[in-house]
Amino acid sequence: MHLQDGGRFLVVLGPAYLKNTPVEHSLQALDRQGISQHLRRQYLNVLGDVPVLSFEMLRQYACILHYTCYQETVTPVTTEPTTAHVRAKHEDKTEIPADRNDYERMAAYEGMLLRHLGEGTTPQEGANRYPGELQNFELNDSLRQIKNNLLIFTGLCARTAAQSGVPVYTAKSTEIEWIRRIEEVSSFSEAQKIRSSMYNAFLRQVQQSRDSAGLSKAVRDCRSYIQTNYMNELSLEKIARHCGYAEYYLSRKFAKETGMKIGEYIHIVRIDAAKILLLSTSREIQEISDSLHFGNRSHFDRVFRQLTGVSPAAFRAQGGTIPKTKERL
Amino acid sequence: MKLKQLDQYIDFIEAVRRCQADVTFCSEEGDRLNLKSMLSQFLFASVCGDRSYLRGGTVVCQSEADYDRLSAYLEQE
Repeated sequence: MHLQDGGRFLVVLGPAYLKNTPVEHSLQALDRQGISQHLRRQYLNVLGDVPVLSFEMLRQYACILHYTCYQETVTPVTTEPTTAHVRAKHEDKTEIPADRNDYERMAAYEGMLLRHLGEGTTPQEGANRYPGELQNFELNDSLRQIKNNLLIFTGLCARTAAQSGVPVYTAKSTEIEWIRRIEEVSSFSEAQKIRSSMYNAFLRQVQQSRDSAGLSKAVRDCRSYIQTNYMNELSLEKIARHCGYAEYYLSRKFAKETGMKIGEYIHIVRIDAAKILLLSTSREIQEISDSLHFGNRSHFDRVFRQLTGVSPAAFRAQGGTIPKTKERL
Repeated sequence: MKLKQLDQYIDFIEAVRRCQADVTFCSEEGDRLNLKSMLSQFLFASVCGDRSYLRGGTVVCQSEADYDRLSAYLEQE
């Protein structure tokens, strides 16, 4: 930092443990060194006071500090890490690559999620919390890195869903929709929310496709079309024309096999989408209602309350912790 | 040689870095910390406040000339 009298001082943020250098590695290094218990205990006591942060969080603190001192905005590109902490040297001075364990952990975690997705089963409570992003310091933009990871995972989920019985058209359309949303993400917390929303959307599709195994092709086509096009204007005429059936025939068949009208099913799908939008975006409720073609806010509120028991505003305020939508076929 | 009381850990480590060869801190518990290694420097930093630990250990320089470089921090025998 430069002072008005020409002097300088250095502000140090830290110390902190970066997420990609877990404490376990230090412990393994200590074991290799044959350190005494006394020294090991002292070291771990000191480590216990050092916070574990992501590099991105440190970078944000640095940007805040810079702005506080200079009223000048810096972008992530202008704050670069030194390479000292990226490489670790063995005692024989050879370099080792970036943490292999992180890649393996991420691959195992994603494999677990995709397995659950393929089976249509919900992962355990908390399992959908991502273990953390891989930090690739060769890329200057960490948010771009996170988006890239999300895009790749979305593609994997779409492929798994299609392999598990979801119509390819539906899986692909859903993938394209989530790719569009991921590209609009502008913060890390938004990225985390969208990750779990995207995964849950594909999981629901897989579960529905399994549940619909006993339904006729006409009804399956109808449901698939609605799930893919709920963001557009829908009418019985349009749905029937797309599916290749007469309106009266499709309407009766749908009601007979599912126990509900097509209009009710459209509401269920749209309310499910509304729940995701309420939790993963900060869009106004009116805007969400309009985008889902509810006509007006009061109609949206009424249908939402019918299916969930609470208003959209209350649902958002409570973080989505309320009874699920009515049982779907 | 024994270490004097360390008031400035950073200054001592800087002096070690300027040494030509390895400088090892040997503790009574059997620890051998090569102070040129960053991990060892972290370990050493964690016990800087433990006077009894430091007093019980010795500093061994691979090169005789390095004892002069570290004379400000070592007790003369």
